Amino acid sequence: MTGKSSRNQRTIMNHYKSTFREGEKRFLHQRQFIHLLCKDAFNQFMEMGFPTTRTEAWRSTNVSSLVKIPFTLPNGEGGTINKKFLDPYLLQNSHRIVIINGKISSTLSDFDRLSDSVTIQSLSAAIQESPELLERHLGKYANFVEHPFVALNSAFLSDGLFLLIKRGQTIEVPIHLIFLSAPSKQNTIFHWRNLILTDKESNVTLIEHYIGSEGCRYFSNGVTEIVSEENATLQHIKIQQESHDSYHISTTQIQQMTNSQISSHHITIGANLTRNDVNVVLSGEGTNCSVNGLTLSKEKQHMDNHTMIEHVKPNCISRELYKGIYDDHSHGVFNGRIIVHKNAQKTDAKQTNRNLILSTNAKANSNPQLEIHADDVKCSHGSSTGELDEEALFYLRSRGINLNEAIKILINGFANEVIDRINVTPLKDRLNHLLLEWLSTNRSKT
Amino acid sequence: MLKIKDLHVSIDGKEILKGINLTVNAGEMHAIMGRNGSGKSTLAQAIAGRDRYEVTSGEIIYNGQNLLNMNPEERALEGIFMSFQYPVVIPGVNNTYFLKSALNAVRKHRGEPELDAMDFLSLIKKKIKAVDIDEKYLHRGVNDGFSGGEKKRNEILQMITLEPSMAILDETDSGLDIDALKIVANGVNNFRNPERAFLVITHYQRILKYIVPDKIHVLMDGKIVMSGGNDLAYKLEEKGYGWIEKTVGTS
Repeated sequence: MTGKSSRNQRTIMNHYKSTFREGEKRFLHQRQFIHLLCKDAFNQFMEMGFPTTRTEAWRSTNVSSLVKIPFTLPNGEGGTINKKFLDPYLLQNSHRIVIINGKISSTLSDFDRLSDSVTIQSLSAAIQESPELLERHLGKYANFVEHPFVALNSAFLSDGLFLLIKRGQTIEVPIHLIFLSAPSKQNTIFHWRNLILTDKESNVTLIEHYIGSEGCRYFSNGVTEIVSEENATLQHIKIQQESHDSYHISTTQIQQMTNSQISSHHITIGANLTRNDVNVVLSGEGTNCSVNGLTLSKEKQHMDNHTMIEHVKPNCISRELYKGIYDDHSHGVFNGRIIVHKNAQKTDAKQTNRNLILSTNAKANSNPQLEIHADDVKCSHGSSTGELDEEALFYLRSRGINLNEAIKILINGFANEVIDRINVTPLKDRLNHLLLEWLSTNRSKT
Repeated sequence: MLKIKDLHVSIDGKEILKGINLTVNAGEMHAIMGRNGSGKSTLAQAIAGRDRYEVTSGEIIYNGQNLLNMNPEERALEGIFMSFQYPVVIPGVNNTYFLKSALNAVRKHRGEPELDAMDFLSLIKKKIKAVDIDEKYLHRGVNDGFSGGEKKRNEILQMITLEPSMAILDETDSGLDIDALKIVANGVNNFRNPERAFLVITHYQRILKYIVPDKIHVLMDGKIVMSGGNDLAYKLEEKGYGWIEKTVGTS
């Protein structure tokens, strides 16, 4: 580490230390297990500090700009926003929960029809009401020992969202969670924290949607823990559409019990710098997960997707498809790890990463990692990075479709393979529309 | 309709076509026969306008226009169609969407109104019957999960949908079983009319039993070395390409 960057690192660590000390009094109102979690996480964070590019898991993602900015916590009041602002993000036919600056907005949320098949609460309310349940799950899956930003998030855990889908309940209409950053001051940090429990035999579609208002620079640092109990079915979609000038670092930690079925889709469009960690632990037999990603990156955006699928028990299936489109000077990283534990026999795991490069200045790194300790398994991975297929382009043109249109059709087709896996029609339409918009703002320059 | 004069074409600096002369009139069907590597596909690709096939000299005149000044989409809009020897698989691009985009581009160019999704669907449902393609293929990616024969039938489907005036069939018969070959031949024969011309490129005489050409040209080392009527195909079948080599000598 050079002298200057270690000085920056010291300064910023002192900044978070004093922020933590100031905030410690909030523990007085909290249960002891929260207090301990925060303290342990904070000590861990102090020990690790911010990662540098010499930290293996951060080799291709430079977070030195985060070290330079002393982000401060929001005032805890939530916030207000013109309802019109939300319009482009709303989905027809969905239960909607809007969380502004960390607080549930009762005026903008709309989930009255959800009845009592689902519990929706702020984390702080849930901690008071069901301390034992929360103590059993909260912070038990997302590992802060190896991830400095999970540690930072856990250290500053004060509130968030708790969602429980009750046993045997099928929720027909998707639940749309909108996390809105609308900071009133420059350089605000939001430690989003969600705990989602889908109980046995339940079935639900959840959309985690991160958006932000332009104008203030902010840092979204989120952790979502999901537990899928026996025979539960979950379709999970995370859409990241943060504002231009923001940073988005998030960990999605999924724990799957026996015979549970999960599909988890990660659409990344916004923010200046993004790092997504998606970790799925198949800890029950007969589980099935499909993890997919679509990344649209342009200008100087940096988007890093780290995934880890851990096969702990036998007879589980995992499928992974991550696709990225990179234009201008943008940079993408895909790091996909599959771990098959010793007794996870009959594992069937497949991982695919495809990157499409639209500009000579854009680049993408792909790093698949298979770690197999069992002998009777079927595992494969494939990765490719390249430009638009010249042959396909000629094929379309030879049928009368002009060059620009042919390029659009091919990019659209490339992205569609991921979008098509989402089983929410209005959301699919929305994503297709977003893609076209993204394409038209890009292609017009060339 | 199509007039090719002293056409020389290179790929990566290597000359493949070494002076082709060919005239195809409206209503005619010509067959180009030749061994692998004789330059048959190069001729097809050069007419369709593929970039990497560099025309070093000569010209291709189509309906009085210089084709070489046009990009591939302009050629297609003007009525040139090439059925690919290896149709391209494009996962994620819906077959129906692709066909509709192509047809509407062509219709727009001809000054006809574009078709909406409903009208297009009812049109295409009639067309697929002619080439015996199951409806489910309309909902797949372009050629995605199609067998070899289905890909070739999909090419013929595109041809009869886009209604070009000059169709080039590049080894459309290769890899087809006899039933599929008959379907393809049938599609082509029904599509023949006095305003249209065809260039059928093939290695074997087999397809020419079903699609009877007016003229046959034998291509060898980038040149047409022999032209004749339909009987030439049978002679070739009987005596092989070696016979032609002996007849024309090595020049």
